[in-house]
Order: sequence, then structure tokens, then C-alpha cells
Amino acid sequence: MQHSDENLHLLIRKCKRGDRKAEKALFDALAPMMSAVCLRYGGDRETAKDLLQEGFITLFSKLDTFSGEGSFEGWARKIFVNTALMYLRKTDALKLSDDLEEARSLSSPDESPVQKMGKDDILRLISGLPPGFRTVFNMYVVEGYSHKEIAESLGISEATSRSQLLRARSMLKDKLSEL
Amino acid sequence: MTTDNDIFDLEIRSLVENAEAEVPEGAWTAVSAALGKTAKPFPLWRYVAVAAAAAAVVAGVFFGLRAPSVPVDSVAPTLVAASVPETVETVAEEPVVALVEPEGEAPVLAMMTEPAKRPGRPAPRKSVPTQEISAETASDTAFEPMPESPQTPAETFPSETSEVSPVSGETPHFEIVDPFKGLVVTESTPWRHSLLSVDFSSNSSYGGKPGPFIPPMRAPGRPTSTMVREAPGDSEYALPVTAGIGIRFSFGPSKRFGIGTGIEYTRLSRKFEGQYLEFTDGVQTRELDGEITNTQQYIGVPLNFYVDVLRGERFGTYVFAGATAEKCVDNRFRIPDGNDYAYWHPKADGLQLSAGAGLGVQYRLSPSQSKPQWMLFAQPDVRYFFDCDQPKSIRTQQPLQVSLTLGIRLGF
Repeated sequence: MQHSDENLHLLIRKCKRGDRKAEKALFDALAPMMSAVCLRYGGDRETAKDLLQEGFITLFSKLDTFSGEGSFEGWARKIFVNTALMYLRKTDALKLSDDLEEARSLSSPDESPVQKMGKDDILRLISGLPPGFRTVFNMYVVEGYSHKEIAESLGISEATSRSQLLRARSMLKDKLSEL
Repeated sequence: MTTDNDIFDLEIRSLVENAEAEVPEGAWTAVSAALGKTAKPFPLWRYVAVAAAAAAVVAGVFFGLRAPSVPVDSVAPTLVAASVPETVETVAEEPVVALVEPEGEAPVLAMMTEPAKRPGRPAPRKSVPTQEISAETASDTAFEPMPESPQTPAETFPSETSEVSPVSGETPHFEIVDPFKGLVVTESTPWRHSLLSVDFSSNSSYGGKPGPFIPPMRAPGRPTSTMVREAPGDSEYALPVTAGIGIRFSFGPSKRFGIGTGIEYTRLSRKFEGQYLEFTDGVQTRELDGEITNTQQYIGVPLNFYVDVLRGERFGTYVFAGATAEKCVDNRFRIPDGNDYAYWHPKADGLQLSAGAGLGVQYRLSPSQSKPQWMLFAQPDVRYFFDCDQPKSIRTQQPLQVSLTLGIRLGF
């Protein structure tokens, strides 16, 4: 976001009053980044669009709860991540298992091809993961949740969270090595 | 220890953590539409302050206007006493008694029979020269019916200048002709009794011949309570102004119908030439003449049915019909007293009922879909004010009126 802190807080105050122009300005500032978040969790553009719209509606409705402390961007990102998780839970897209054997069977390349890829490619690869893998990977690797937090959020065990992460990471590496 | 997985995770995170993607087309439109349906409450006080200021400005403009005079013919001087008269019920033709003063002759009682213009209302009186009624000439003498023979001349006729005194003992005699056959007189209203007594206070004959029968007086004709006497002539009526605040509950398809109520304030005002007589313990203590201003303030509760006709983003029009019950909370007479004014506040009993219909224009102050909705409205309407024995005003003279109500409405 390009807005300075002062401008951002002014914008947020206007949005709280229902100023439609201010809401549009905030949408324009946040939408690109949150589109990437929604794409990572949604898996496809249609789902990402739905998540984006739902996320902003939730953000504007909960704007009063933002205390002003901490990063607004981080606060907004959490809303979108939670929106994505609720969507995935609702659509029963998270088919999680704690089959560690399958995770271990996936190969792990010796060198990291990540550095050769652009962020769009990585985003595309992450979006292409199965929902369960994708969700845990995004939450652990990108958002920085712990396995305990992921387990509580998704209603799974920590072991399942770990196995999902392993499988996601292995699958990504495989796909990266194919490119 | 940093593992390969940790390095992999760090590389991924560094690439995608702040990554941006193309915003899907139409995303904001969908978000904006959804936000419009779930609008947040807005600061009420701001809109109330704006609406109150606007209403005050408009009310101030209208209060400063004066309607053209509405001439009201009156024959007999009108007396306004402390109590409100009940309507004299009439049949199709109501005989009206007025005082006529032929030149050079004794005051006589002239019988005029005119059809009443509407049931329950006093028949309009034509302008004829009238004898000014004073407390001194008002008589409380009971008149005895004449003997049956119409040829019997009256034994005693008061002269032009003689006063009829309650203590004189003189009883004029008249033929037994009941001109008020069919006239139903309610006995419980002192005002009407005093009016009758004033009408009948002069008991002169028609040039010496037996005059019409005067029914027995039911109440003394001499005023004993504070009153305002209106001189014959025109009254000047101010434009009635109504302001209100209301509430409306919508229902039906698209919430197009509604039922509403609220509180309305109306101010009526008129000026006329008259006389103010103040009495204390039955003794007249004050008498003032001049241009008297009578102001009446009503508080009313309307009940209306609404149908929206047009709905825009902010503006809308509607039609409505309903009824209103109003109470006169202040009936004030202002009488010039030298360089100052004297004031008199007789009580006005009963309620003013009216029915009306019209169309309205409203401006929505609050965002769409928010609850509740604050709206400014202006509604010209046609209203009929029923005869409810209210103090004389433009409503009693012209019961069918076009009026304008301005106000604020809360919509649910």
C-alpha cells in the first residue's frame, strides 16, 4: 500500500463513516495484495474472486474493530485468510489426512529451483496444490501460523498439519523441478 | 538448525508474501453493492440537526407570510365567551334573528329565514346594519307569550331609548307565533345561551304592531364573564402552518405501502376589530377596543395510509390519506392596550377532527437500506375540518382547505 500512515488512518476513519469514495480508495489500495492471497488459497481465479469480494465485505463490516495499533495490512490479511479458510471449510475442500507415508514417498530435490522462478509462477504453483495441502502450506509458510494454530483453526491434529505441510512442500518441489 | 525445508519456506515466503495479483474485473461493483445493503448506522445527530435547521428556516418563512384576507360576513356582533358553544342543530331552514335598525325607528327584530349551508353549522348571515350590543342593553327579562288572539295589541312596547331593565318589571307582549319551530336548542351551553340572549335582547315590535314571538330566555343576556366581542366586518386570516414529526411502518411488496402516525403542530391566526370586556366577580373591570389578534395552537396526532409512487436514490413521492385529531393547546387573544397588549387565554374544549388526502415529496437523509430511515417531507394536502365546536378560525370558516405540512419522518 502506498498510503502514508496518516493518510491511511484518515481513509479508515472515512470508511467507518460509510464514505463510499473512501471505501473505494481502500479497496484499490488493498485489492492487488489480497488478490494474491485469495489466489493462493482459492486455487483458481473464480474462487479467488469470490474470496476477494467476501473478504472485503467482511473487512468493511469489521472496520470498527481495528484498534489502530499494529499493521493494518497484517490485520486485513488475517481477515482474508480467515475468509478463505471459512470458504474452504464450508465447501468441504479440505480433505486432510495424516498419512505420513505418502508424504515421505515424495521426492525432495537437492537444489532449490525457487530462485529461478518468478513470484507469479510460484503463486500459480501454490494455487495448483490440492486444497488441504495448499491451505496448510499458505498458513504455515506464507502467513507464519504454527502447527498448533493451524490445527485449532482447521480442526485437525497437529500431526495432520505437519503431514499436510510435508506433502505440500514435496509436491511443490516436484513441480518446480519439472519446470 | 536450518534445514532445507526451512530455506525452501523462506524462499517461497519472500517471493509471495507481498505479491500482488490482478484484481478481478467487477470485484468492486459486487463489493459496493453488498455494502449498500448492509450500510452502517450513520450519525443521527448530524442529520437531525440539518433537518431541524431546515424545518426551522422553512417554518420561519411561512410564519412570516400572511394570507389574503378572507372576508367573513357577520351580521350580529359575535360574542366569544369563556366556553365553546355547541353547534345549534338545524333543519333544512334555520330562522336567523338579527338586529335591524331602520332609520329613525326603534330597533326591531327582523326575522330572516335562510337555508343552512351545511348541516350542523350556523346559517350564514347577511350583512345588515346592526345595533351595537352593549352590556347595558342586554336583557335577562323573560318574555311571556302573548294571549292567543293575534289582534290583541301589545300593551307595552319599549321605546327606542328606553332600557330594558331586569328590575323594571315591564314585560312586553307579543303574538304567539313560534318562528323557531323546529329549532333545537341545546340547553347546556352558556355561550349559546348568551348569544341567543343577545339576539333576542331587544324586544321591540315592528313599528307598533305585534312582533314575533320571543321564546323564554334561558340564560341572562348581560355578560358577566370575560369575553371578546367581534365587530362586524372582515377578519384577516394568516396562512395556517403545520409542522410535524412522524413515523412510518412500511409493508407489502417492495415495502411500497405504509401506515404512519406522528405529532403535528399547527398555528392558526386571525385579526379582527373587536372589543375586549374583562369581568371580575361578575363586574366589568376593563374594556379595550382595537385590532385583536387571535392565535390558536394545535397539537395533533395524524394517522395516515401511504403508497409510494416514485422512488429514487434520495427523492421519492407518495400519496396518502387519513385523519387527524388535534387539540387546541393555546387559544390566545391579544388586545391592544395603549402602548402595550392585554392577553386572554380562554380554554378550547374538545378535539378538532379532520380527514384529508394528498401527495407528498420526501428526501431521504440516511443511506439506502439503513434502518431506520430519516426523511424530510413536504406534503400538500386537501383536508376537511369537521365541525367540532372549535374556536373561530379559518378552519371553521372554510372547513375544506388546502394545507402544507412539513416535517421529518422516521421510516422502518
